[in-house]
Order: sequence, then C-alpha cells, then structure tokens
Amino acid sequence: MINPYLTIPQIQTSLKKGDFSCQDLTSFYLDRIKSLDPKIKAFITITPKVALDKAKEIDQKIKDKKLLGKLAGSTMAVKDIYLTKGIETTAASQVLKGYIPQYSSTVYQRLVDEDAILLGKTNTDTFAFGASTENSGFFTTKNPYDTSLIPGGSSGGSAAAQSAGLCTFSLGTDTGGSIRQPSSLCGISGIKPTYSRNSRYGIAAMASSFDCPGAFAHSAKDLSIVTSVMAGNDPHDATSSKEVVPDYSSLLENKNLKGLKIGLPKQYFTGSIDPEVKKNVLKAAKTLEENGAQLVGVSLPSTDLGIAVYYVLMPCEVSSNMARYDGLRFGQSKKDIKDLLSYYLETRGDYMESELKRRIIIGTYFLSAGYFDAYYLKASKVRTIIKKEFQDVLSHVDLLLTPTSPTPAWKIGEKVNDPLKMYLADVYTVCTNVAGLPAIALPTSPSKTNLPIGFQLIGNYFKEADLFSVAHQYQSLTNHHLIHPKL
Amino acid sequence: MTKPLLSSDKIDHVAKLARIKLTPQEKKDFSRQISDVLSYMDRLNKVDTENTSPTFQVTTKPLSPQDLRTDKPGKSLTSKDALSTASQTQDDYLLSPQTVKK
Repeated sequence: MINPYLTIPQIQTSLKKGDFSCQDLTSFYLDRIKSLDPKIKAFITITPKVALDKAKEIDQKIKDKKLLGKLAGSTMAVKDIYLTKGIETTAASQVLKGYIPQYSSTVYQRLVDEDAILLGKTNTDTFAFGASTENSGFFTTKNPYDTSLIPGGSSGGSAAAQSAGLCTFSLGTDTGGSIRQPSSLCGISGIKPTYSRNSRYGIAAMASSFDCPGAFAHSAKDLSIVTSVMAGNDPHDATSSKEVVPDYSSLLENKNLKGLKIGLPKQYFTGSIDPEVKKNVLKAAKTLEENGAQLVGVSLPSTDLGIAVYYVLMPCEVSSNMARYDGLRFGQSKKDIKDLLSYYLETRGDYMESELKRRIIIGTYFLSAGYFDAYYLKASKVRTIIKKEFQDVLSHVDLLLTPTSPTPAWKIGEKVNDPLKMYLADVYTVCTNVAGLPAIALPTSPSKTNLPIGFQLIGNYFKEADLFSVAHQYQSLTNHHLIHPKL
Repeated sequence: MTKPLLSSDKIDHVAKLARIKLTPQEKKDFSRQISDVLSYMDRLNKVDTENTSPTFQVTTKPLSPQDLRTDKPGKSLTSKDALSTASQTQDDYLLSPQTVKK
C-alpha cells in the first residue's frame, strides 16, 4: 500500500531506494482515481496510457542510471484549460468539447520535460468562470470533505483531486482567486505567483491582464519545487517576465521568522466574515508571532472596491478574448448555415454556457459606445489606487496575512442562481489579482465541523521565495496541511 | 449617474454586438442579473480619480521595439496540423459560410 499523500521529496527517496517503481506508483494513482473519482468527480479526462508510458520511460532512466528530471515520479492533475498536445482540452465547455490541441501550453510542457506524469485533466467552471465548479458545462465537482458541498473554484477539480490524494500536485489558474479559494475550501496549499511570473501561453485566456497559472500541492515545499520548474520567461508570451527564477526550494530557511513584520489589513477581518474563520486565521498569525514574527495592524482602505474593479475589467477582457470562438477554426459549430452572421449567432448561442454568455454580454456592454469611460477607464484608474495602497503597505511590512475565503465550503446550489453573491465570494482574493501580487494559500485549524479553513500570505512583486520560506516554516510548526478527508 | 438598468432592447443590441443568440429566458434572467451587477459597480463613481492614471498592465512595461524577436522564420504548425481542428476545409484552406452577398 502506497501513501497517496506522498510529497515530491518522499517520492524521490522511495524511487531511489526501490520501494516502488514509477509504474507501480502511477498504477496506484490510476486505480485510486478509478475507485474514488466517481464520488468526487474531479476529472473530465483520465489519461492512463500517457501516464503509464511516461512512467515506463522514467523507470528505464532509473534502470540505466540516467539523469532524472526534477519532478521524476510526481503525478499531476491538470486543469482542463491548459492545452495538452494530442489530448482533448475542453475548458469544461461545450464550446471546446472534442478539441484536440496541436500544441501544449508552455508551463505544462516544462513540467513534462522534468518528468512529471500526467494523470488527467480536471474539471473547472467553464473557461474558469466561477467560484464553485457549478458553472462547468459537464458536471459539478464535490468537496472531498463533504460531497454535498462545493470544492470552490474555478480550479475546483484540481483542488479536489489534490485534497483526495489523487495526485502528487495539480495545476490551476488564478484570475480572481481560483487557486487560493479552492485551496482554502479543500484544505490544501496553493500558489498564485506574481502576474507574469508564469507563461500564459497555451492556456485558454480568461482575462489576460489578471490570468496567473499556478499550482496546488500537499506542502509549501512541494509548491516551491513545482514553481521553480513552471516559472520563467517565454518568448510565446510577450508579458511573461524576464526576472530570474531562483531555486525556491533551496531558499526555504532564508526568511527568518524572528523580526519578520506581518501586516494584518483590518479590512480583511470585518464585514461578512464567519467568526470561526476569523478566529482560526488569527490563530495562524499567532503561531507566527509566537515564533518571532511581529504582527502589525495595517489598512488597505480601497479593499471593498476590489470586486467592482475586477468585475468591470475582467468581463471586458473576457468579451474580447472570447471573440476567438468562431466555430470555424476550432470548437463545436452548427452545420448547414448559409451566412456568416447567423453562423456566429447560432454557434455561440448554442454552445456557450450561461455564465460565459453573461460575462461576454456584461463586458461588451462596458466596452460599447458611450460606456467605456464610465466603466472600463474608471475601473482601470481605481486599479492604480488599489495597487498603490498595497505598495505603500508592503514598504512597511514584509508580507500580509489575511483570510482566503469569508466562509468554509458552502452547499452545492446555494449561490448558483445569484451571480452577484457568487462574485462576492472572491472578496479576499481579488485585490491581489487587481494589483498582480503573489500570494500563497495555506490551511489553518479546521472548523468545529471539520471543514477546512485557509489563510493567505501576500508578498511583494516577485518575492515568491519569501512566501515559500515563511509558509514552509509555518508548516514545520503545525500539522494542518497533514489533515486529509476521510474517503 | 442614474442606476443603469439593462433594458430588453439594450440586451438585444449588446448580444448582437457580441455575436450571441440569446433565448427569451436568458434575456429575462440576464436583464435582472446584469442590472444587479451594474448597480453594484456604481460605487466606483464615488472614487476621486481626477489625478490618477489608469493601469492596464501590472508588472510589465509596454513593449518597445527591442523586445521584439528578430524577424526570422521559425518552427510553426504545418497547414495540415493547423487545419486539423477546423469545422470545414477545402484543399489547404479553411471554409467559412458566405460573407459577401452575390
């Protein structure tokens, strides 16, 4: 019996010792997915052949004593908006059902090149539009802690797979909180790096000035290993940063907790926050304080404008990005329509899911004649104000600590007919995206009813190393990341 | 600014701009839901942005000519590969419905 929650270093030690082969490990996860996923519904596509072929190749390398990739033996689940050459990529939408990409996304390819093993593609809200996976064009993923609850979203399939021990690490994207919020609701660790740290090439675009590829894992240390492989400049993404990528996992002890200044922004601990969430997030802060950190009350006065800025700018970018789905070059399309306008109207009308249509309509409205200045331009200016507030605060403290989600996971169906209520679920995550800052989500003590609760550490631009270091030390002092659902 | 409500005519107009056919039920739901969202956005109008410039990119500077790659042909998809996902093709071309009236 293999422990499904093995970390990347543990797997590598076991492979070296010969406890199991890569093929044993891969078969173990494939079997586990087969038995548990019908209950969780994390995966849209499972890729046993791709997985076992890769495992065989790595076993051969071990046998031949060849140099192994940095992720040799680590199995991964990939959000189904990352293009994977030759493997169906749907974005959980009827629009792309049956689409077999001719190329792979850069970050996915970098992970495969370092010998990560793809187990399958995971569910998400369609094109990553949502906070619960209920907007998926196929099915809703269940929270492994309680299958009557949502796993969070949009990267809920990857988060649920991670939490249920169906993979070593998994990939998500975070445009308004879509990695950190499901991390929090599923009790796992997740990283949203600085905007532009990871290439967006080959990932279905949602809002291009916000989209951030990132990962989920069983520990901050694993996240640091995976991020070192994913990050870096990519000639295919003109916005990707040329900033040097450090070997994050070698810097885990670098940030001393003694004297570390942690800001607690007061706007994140008021309003509709669940009292137990507040209490347990502050407990995490207390643990860091007891180990030398200094807690400082800070203020980010424009926090409550974050949702408004985001839900103006994001749909504008969505409406522009989604124009590419013309039903001609890829994706599903209506047959036997004689003129092009009707072809577009019918194809897009028929295959797009409601949340997709809703956001395109909102965005098109904001960008249409007479409204541009009032919405898009105005929101872009308030974006500057939010960014500046963060920069001012981060010049006084090393990082910020806040809750990730105002509540633990909620019931499936509870918010699905009220988009505004669903949008407000992003209240603690979205400002980080508006500013483009990096943040790491970690579990703190669970609720009295044993549901996961999470907090996030927000750092300065390109200071991922600090986040990994503090998160790793926190996880060395606590065991919340070692709690798993009973399945 | 008065509370912007999305009328049915407005929805029709925007939906056509966005090239999406909506069902009568969607029109009804969207009119209500989008109006909720729009009134929420009103709070932005209370912010003084007189002396603030907009942010379009958070971490990268606008591209300059030095950022462009040299104009040399590189590896790319073959036309056969590029067309492998197309709805309709003819020879090495993408086939679309008629765009200009005869």
